[in-house]
Amino acid sequence: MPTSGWILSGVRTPFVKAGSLFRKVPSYELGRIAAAETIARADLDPGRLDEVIFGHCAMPAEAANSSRIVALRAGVPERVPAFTVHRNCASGMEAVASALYRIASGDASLVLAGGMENMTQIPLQFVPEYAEWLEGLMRAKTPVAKLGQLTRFKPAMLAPRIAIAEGLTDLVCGLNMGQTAENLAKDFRIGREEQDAFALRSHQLAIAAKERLREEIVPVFAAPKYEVVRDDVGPRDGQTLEALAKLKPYFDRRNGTVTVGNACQVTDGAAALLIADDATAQGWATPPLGRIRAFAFAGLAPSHMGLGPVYAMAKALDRAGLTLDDMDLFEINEAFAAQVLGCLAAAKSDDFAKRELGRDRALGEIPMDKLNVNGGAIALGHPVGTSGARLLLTALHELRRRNGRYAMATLCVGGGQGAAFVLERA
Amino acid sequence: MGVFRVEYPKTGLAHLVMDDPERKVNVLDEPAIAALETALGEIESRADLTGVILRSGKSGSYVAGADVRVIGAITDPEQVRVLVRRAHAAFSRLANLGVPTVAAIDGVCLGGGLEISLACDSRVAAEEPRTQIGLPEVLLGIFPAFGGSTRLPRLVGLPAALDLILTGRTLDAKRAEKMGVIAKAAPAAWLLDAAEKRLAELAKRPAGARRDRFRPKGAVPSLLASAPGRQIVFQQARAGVMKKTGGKYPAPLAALDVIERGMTLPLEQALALEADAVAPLVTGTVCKNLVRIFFLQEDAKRADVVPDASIEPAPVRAMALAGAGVMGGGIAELASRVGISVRWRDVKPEALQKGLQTVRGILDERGRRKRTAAREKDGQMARILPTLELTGFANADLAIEAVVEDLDIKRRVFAELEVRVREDAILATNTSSLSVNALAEGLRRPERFVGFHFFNPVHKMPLLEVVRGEKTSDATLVTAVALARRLGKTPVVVKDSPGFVVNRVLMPYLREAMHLFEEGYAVADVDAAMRRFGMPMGPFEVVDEVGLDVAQKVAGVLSAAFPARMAPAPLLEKLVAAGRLGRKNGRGFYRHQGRKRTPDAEVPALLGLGSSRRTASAEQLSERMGLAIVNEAARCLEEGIVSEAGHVDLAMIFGTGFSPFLGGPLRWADSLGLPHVVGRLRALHAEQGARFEPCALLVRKAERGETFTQPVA
Repeated sequence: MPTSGWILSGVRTPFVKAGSLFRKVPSYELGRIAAAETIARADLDPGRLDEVIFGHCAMPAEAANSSRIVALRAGVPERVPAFTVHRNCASGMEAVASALYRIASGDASLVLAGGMENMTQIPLQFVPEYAEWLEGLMRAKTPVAKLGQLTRFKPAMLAPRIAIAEGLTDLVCGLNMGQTAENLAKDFRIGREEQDAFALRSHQLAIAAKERLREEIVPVFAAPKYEVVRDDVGPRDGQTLEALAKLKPYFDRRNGTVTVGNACQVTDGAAALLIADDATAQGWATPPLGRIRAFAFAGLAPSHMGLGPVYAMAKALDRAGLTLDDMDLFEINEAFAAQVLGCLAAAKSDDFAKRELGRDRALGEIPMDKLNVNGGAIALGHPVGTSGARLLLTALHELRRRNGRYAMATLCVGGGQGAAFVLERA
Repeated sequence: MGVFRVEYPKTGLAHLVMDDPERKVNVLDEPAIAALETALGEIESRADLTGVILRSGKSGSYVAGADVRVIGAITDPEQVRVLVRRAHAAFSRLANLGVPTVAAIDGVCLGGGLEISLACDSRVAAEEPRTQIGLPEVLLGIFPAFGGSTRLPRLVGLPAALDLILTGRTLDAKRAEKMGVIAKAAPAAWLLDAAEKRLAELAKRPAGARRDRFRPKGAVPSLLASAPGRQIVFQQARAGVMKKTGGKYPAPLAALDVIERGMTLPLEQALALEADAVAPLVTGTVCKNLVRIFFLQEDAKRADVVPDASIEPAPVRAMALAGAGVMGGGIAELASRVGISVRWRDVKPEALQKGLQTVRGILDERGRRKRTAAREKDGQMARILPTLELTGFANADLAIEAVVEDLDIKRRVFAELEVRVREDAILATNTSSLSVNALAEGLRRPERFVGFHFFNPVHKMPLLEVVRGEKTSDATLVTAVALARRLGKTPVVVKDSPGFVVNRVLMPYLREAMHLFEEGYAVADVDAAMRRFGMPMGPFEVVDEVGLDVAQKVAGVLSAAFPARMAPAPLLEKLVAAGRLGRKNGRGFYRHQGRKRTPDAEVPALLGLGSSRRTASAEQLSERMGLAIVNEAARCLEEGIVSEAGHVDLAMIFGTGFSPFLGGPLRWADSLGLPHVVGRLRALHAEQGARFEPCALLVRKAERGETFTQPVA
């Protein structure tokens, strides 16, 4: 039996373009709102929780183990422990997976899991030379030694390292995430027009889904003015192909195809889910959102990290004993249009299956009418620590609306990984 | 074993321990002084001592001060003088022990508690939230006379001493250290070690120069310490006291006089001045009135409100709050401050936005004064969870509404709330003008329903009227009162009746002011008369502050209930119709510019009143308005809206600022003499009409020679 469990309910904040409405709302505050609202809407006594686990990629300096801050500020009793997980873009899914393992072992029956990210507040860092210089200054005991150290200061030491830029560059292969997407575009010959068309589709679907998405969103009264933010900010009504076509390639200026228009938006947001064992789900006052039938994480070449979903889906489907054709719905995180389209191509390729997945035949066809039907990260945005949890939430709501049975939620992970969750409606 | 004992924990060291076996907290009364004398005799007889530590035998509780009950009961000035002199003598023996002395303070150290500590050479105090150090005597209409007014200026200098003595404010250990009142703040766990260390330091000083003396450094403080500088300090302090009290409170002025004369005298003569000056204050009316209010307040904080004392209040951890107006904002801030989580619902996002801004504004304002860390403010904000939905109410132990004053809307809100909260949750209304009983109709569990009438601004007004409906159960009332206390409010339990107590008693008073205006007296004269009477604001200033539209609404409710006494005021309607809403839009009875207000000549013209104004003495004006208050206050008692006279007095003092030195309306009536009050009311009845007809209870009490209130004992 694969590790499984229930998602009782959940909620997320709107996703808001970095540097805008949530500029003054730290990640752990977004997490707190999602957590507290999930507890409130479930009329849950938070003392019943066994653990709180959130995914979070860029933890601010003042909030080490940010999940603990989220838990305490959301009114979870002090005796309930909390920890924070980091698996890059899959952090939100890793939080849920960590909850499921605890449930499977019998150590927990009810866990609050989720993700949070405020990409606006990812700090600037100092270059290592500056830190070394400062250390030397503190070690210098005599005034002469101090003066000597002072003269060694170079203005260049104050040039900030932009953590978000470095975080999105793979240390092992040296490529920026956008450059890995360019690799897929080349491998599968996915042209600029095809990518832009997919991006346009994401915006159009997200705009059309505004009312539906409100079912999973809690309005946030954002400090310092406490103006209400009810909807995702990313989807652009009236987005045209022409406007997308005008954008310059961002990662490979000369021959590239990936632009900021056909890549995910950098956003702030948080999501929380209540994860439970069978007994708790059965005794729950309201019908659970759904069940996690199986899940898997998989690894691949960092330079091709965008194909991670294909590897992870294969593993997760095997564990669930299901096939791609059984799925009524797919949520594939839209890190890049080229990357999602690359996944579709790889999934239906017998050759890829044999070479990369060790299977005789292709995974199968992912029909467009089942894929990201309410838009994806290109329109909604991708707060890295949060997206994994958001995909589960969005997929289960849509599965209910469609009266479907199975859904696949999956994403690619910087550093060369994939994560996939097979969901089932109760 | 007496109140004081002596312990010898190590060779050469004595602990002078205060530990009253009869009481939970130590107070300095006559038996305590006697016990101190005995203990000092023992210490004086020992030749082997190198140091003495004064401490309390009660963990986390030091000395609360003199016995307030004795202060309330004592009526003979000579008796006061003798008692004070006896304390002086005992404290001076402590001060003149041949060995170093240090007071180790942990917990409340107020009034006499600080004064006995000031007799020691030095002081250390526990750096814990429970430690409060101060001389709050002026708040009871007296001043520090167990040596405090003499020793504190000598210890910390004049400006700091006046600050503490004239305001009665208390300090935590850190601030006390900064001011020089104590030598060192240390965690309670290390307090005695700190005291011993201090003893060792003092032992190194020559015997004649052992006492701590702290002076702030800098040019200005040393200038103020000079003789001409002191004169300026006293002048300014006097002017400040006069401005704040209008000269109605004799204690701060007496304190200033004693300190000024005593500062240049030898210690013993200065102490004698204290005794002479405090004796008439202790036996005077203002002190007795303030002591009575102190006990009424203590009662409001502690006393059982139902006959069955075994009923325990239910815990309130979470609150559901409906309505994000001004009151809602205040309630959300108050609840979240004491750790209650608030699920806050409004149908309009703009209302919640404004509400959250209100809460943040209160936090920032307090933060500026007390320098609250952003972390604490954010933590408090995080306890408030706004929503546009009807969800998340099942965790609430209490659901309270603060929506618009409309019976149907409030009923609809309660219908929505009642099905979503737990069976055992309490429902509360913050109505100011609607009937709690009418709101209870249609509820499935009316016994769990109660009125919770906050005053605006919620975070500043100390009073809370807890309204008991006909069906409100004892358990519900007990929980509501306990919550009010936890929120830091002074609760007064009232029966459901139009206007409850405060608004009902206030209305005839405001109405009387308008009658005077219509008769040709100037707005500013009427207000000035009431300020002289001791009110913090005049009646027209109050109406402008509250808003003419709000006043009109409350007046409407009350005139419907009591048409004979509280006829509608057409002039209010005319002014509201002319767009005059009070301070909020800059024009009411006055013209407002920021905090400044000036009389508005347009107002009489607008109302068709002649511009030539009549004049009368302030006493003539204030008597009419004051008696209107007394008569209605007596009616509240007569109708059983409150269970005792003290509750009306407390409600009016804390709800409207009614002159505390007068002791509240019914206490004031007693001090005028009820036959005189009835006589004046009858005369006004003949002159002004039915609204002045004295209430039956007042007449009966006057005829029988009874009073509303008793002397404090």
